[in-house]
Amino acid sequence: MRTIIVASTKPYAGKTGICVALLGELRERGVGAGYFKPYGTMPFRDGNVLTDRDAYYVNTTLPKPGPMGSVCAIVRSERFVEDVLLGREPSPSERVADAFATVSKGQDVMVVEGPSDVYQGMAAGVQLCAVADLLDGRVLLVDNPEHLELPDAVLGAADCLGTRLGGVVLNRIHESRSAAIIEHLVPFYRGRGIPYFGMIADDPTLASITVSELVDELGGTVLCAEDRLDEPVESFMIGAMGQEKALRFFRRKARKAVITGGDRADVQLAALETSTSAIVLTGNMPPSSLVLARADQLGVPMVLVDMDTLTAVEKLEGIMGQVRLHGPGKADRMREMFVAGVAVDDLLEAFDL
Amino acid sequence: MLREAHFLSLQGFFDPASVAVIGVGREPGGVGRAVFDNLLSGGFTGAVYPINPRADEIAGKRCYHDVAELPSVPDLAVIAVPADACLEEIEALGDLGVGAAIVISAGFKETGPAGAAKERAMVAAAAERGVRLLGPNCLGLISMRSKLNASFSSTVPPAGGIAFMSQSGALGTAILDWASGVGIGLSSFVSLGNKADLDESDLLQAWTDDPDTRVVVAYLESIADGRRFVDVASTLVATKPLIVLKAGSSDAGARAVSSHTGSLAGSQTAYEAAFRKAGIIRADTVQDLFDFAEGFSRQPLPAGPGVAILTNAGGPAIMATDACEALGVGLASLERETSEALRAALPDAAAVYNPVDVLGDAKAERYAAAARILAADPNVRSLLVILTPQAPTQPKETAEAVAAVAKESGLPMFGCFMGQRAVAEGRAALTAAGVPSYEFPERAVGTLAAMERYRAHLAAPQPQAAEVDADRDAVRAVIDEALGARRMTIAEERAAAVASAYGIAIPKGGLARDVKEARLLAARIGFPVAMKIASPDILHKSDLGGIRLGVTDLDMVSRAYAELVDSAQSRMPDAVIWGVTVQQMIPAGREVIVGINRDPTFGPLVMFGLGGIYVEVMKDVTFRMCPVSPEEARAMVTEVKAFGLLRGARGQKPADIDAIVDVIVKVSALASDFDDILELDINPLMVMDRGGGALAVDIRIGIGG
Repeated sequence: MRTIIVASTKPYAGKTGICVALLGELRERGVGAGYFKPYGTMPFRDGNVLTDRDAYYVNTTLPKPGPMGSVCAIVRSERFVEDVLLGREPSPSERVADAFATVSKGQDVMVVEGPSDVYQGMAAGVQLCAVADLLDGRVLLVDNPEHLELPDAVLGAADCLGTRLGGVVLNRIHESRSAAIIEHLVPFYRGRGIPYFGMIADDPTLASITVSELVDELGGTVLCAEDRLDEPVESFMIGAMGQEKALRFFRRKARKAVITGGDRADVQLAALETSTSAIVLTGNMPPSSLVLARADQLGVPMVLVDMDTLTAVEKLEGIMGQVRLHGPGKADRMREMFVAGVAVDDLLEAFDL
Repeated sequence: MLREAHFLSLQGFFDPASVAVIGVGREPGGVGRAVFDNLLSGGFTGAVYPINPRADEIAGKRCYHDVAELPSVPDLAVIAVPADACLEEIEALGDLGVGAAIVISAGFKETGPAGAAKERAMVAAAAERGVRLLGPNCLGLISMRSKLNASFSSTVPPAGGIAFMSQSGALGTAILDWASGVGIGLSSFVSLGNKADLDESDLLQAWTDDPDTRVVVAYLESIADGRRFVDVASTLVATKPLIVLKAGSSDAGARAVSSHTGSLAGSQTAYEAAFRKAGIIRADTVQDLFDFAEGFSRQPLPAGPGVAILTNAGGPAIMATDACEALGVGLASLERETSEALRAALPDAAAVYNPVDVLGDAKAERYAAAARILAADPNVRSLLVILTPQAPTQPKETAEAVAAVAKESGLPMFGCFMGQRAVAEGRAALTAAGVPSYEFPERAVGTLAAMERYRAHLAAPQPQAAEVDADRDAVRAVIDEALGARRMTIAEERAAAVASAYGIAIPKGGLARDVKEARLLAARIGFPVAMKIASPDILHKSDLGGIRLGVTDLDMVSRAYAELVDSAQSRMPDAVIWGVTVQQMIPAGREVIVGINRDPTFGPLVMFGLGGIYVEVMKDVTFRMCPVSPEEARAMVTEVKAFGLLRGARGQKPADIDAIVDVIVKVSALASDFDDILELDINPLMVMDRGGGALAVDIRIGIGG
């Protein structure tokens, strides 16, 4: 059995998405693979079972999902943290090994989702290098280098993984950075003997939420266009200026949510003139019925919320900006982008898949 | 649609032979009953059919239970039943062959999505059956030609030459009442309501060929199709004046309009540009609206500039003169013979230059004598007669006498009899003689100014947009590439390519994605070079330390590159940085800005102003609708207050105005050719001395839609 461990150098580098893409790509090539996550940090209840939210999602993308109780071996909870610190946790690595044995039974290939960075879980002995040895897997490291960052974490991982490091893939790279990466960073990897398999572009649609997720997060009431709640919201803008300035301002972003007061008919109409996925009306002030009719006609949901603008902004900032996987079409899109940016054949060959 | 066909298709509204009213109550008080009563009392001579399923007779007329029972197909139907019942009525009317329907009923788009859906269904049903619809949610329509009062306003003004349409029904009633009170005559009145089918452009088309309408007046809050409106209005304005009161000019007012109509109020500058293009006279207040209408409908247009002010009091004449200067109305320079004749005819103390003061003790005869002499002066094209009630003054006789002189000479005349009770008879005499009468000199001058603007518009040749040679395919490719990559801005070298495709000169240079490229570019261009941070998120580069000028060698290039990127990154960490633009150093010139903003109502507008504080702080800018002719572009340049700086002031040589005009024309063509362009800024356009041309130094294009 071959095991590939997809790990990150930092949180939100996009390893879960890459797991989904890799599983899909293997499937496409006729290679059945299972999925396992040794250590998860997003508690989620599936019936009676406590598991990790992302692990749950990835598992559901499999044609034959693994047993949910074992797919994520350890879920970090307050109890677990206390136990580790007090030395009460018997043997986390044994739990990981047992769960892995259960999930991988009958599988030729296992795609394992590693921790969020190179050292996460070290206090419990389940950090990346330990897990790689435990599961006898090789590591595909996902990095998301930002401006002025040196590849310190990649080198750190290479140091402790030794030959278990299969290579690096860069993710969520904005096109303005790609030239610098190819000219400076890739030769550096080569110089250090670190295999590089390609870079995946940044796609704002993957970081989008749906209108209905927005409604849930803000606890709002949908006033119209109820059939358009699956539309993507890629960013949000606040509307507080006069009508002429509002139009120029709103033209800057597409597929956005606009937050404004219910009495600002001019701002609402300006938003409707541009690419807008939803209009959030704060302070529990309903809009003019004519504007509501226009929004309905254009298929733009108006969402009435009780809170003030500042609170709404804080809540939206909290859920947006990270890649949200669980949406329609996202799995396909991730595979598309993976295949477009990565030398997949080389990668699979390097990992003997 | 052929114009004649348009007019004819609305004939059912303005000149029906028979009218059916659906929803007439048996007791007085309801809207339908009010409309029915108004039709009868208005003097309409055609057949009027009330429809009520529960009555056989109303107010002595045979009542029908439904549309099917009617003895003949009415030309017009007025519907005043609840919104839910309207669809069925429209279907029945359409199937019967009725071509025109006025829906007075409310409960449609103005109430929200459910109402909007009802409205859409009704419009679709009407369109399928060939029924034109006015309203819904409107006051109705009055047509004086056929004495048709198909509205629920019982006040009907006298017949006259003014056609009036209003987007506010309630304001319409008030205006009808007022018009009746002051004796202003209308040819028709239309309340537009929700504009579900017929809108302001349709009415303008109908009134263009209406012989009874000499002036068109409109109160509008929003315009459905801006470009069609400008087209249609231009055609109308060629034969008769159009005066529009467009509400919502302030920010707060705009908000109210949006709330009231569910449409964007529209940008002030766009409306100004559109009205200027069509030759529409804009009224800022309801008072202006009707002052202007009165002037236009009762007096001939002045043949040219040059007003003579005839007064019996110095003070009001000075106020009138101030108003003339403020509004750009020129005072006539009297010929020497005129002043001499006046000196002979008037007392010694009288003023015999313009304004002509016949003194406080003037009776009708002295006024008339002065008026006759002024009328004979070829420089006098209009006459403003001011009168204050002194003891010897004869307001009534003066009015009659002077009016007679004006009529005889064909001179447009305006009366300003100041006071109230003492001049009441005089004012009435003016009105009876067809002379517009104003309480204050400023209003008279305002009206005259509007009439002179209209005359000037008629006299000016129609601007013709120039054919612009351009590589449109290249531009299409750049735009498609950006749209495909989901970019909302085109900047730096791609924007420069667009400008170049339209023949706009750009500086030598390009985008360097790293230091190596920057050094290569600089070497290729030749020193000295300018270097600027390239980022779609950084709009004001100089504010962020994002520009290095006068870079003279490769080492400086490397240093400058690093500094520019680091500075931008640290001040705006979230900005996307493409790299650094390296450009030839431009010789010093005048900095101007040429821009585009696409208005949702009227389409793209082109803008011009002098760069820096002139645009940003003083807002000294001019606008026109695109595409512009070279003449319009030149007018834009000469109109800015700071034009003197371009013309050459304090020893400076004049700038290359022709080059600016050329760029404005080309930019306006670019905006008209590509709907995807929402905004565009050439800032700065560096203009050399005359003959030296102009360079588009920095260009940014916003796309979308």
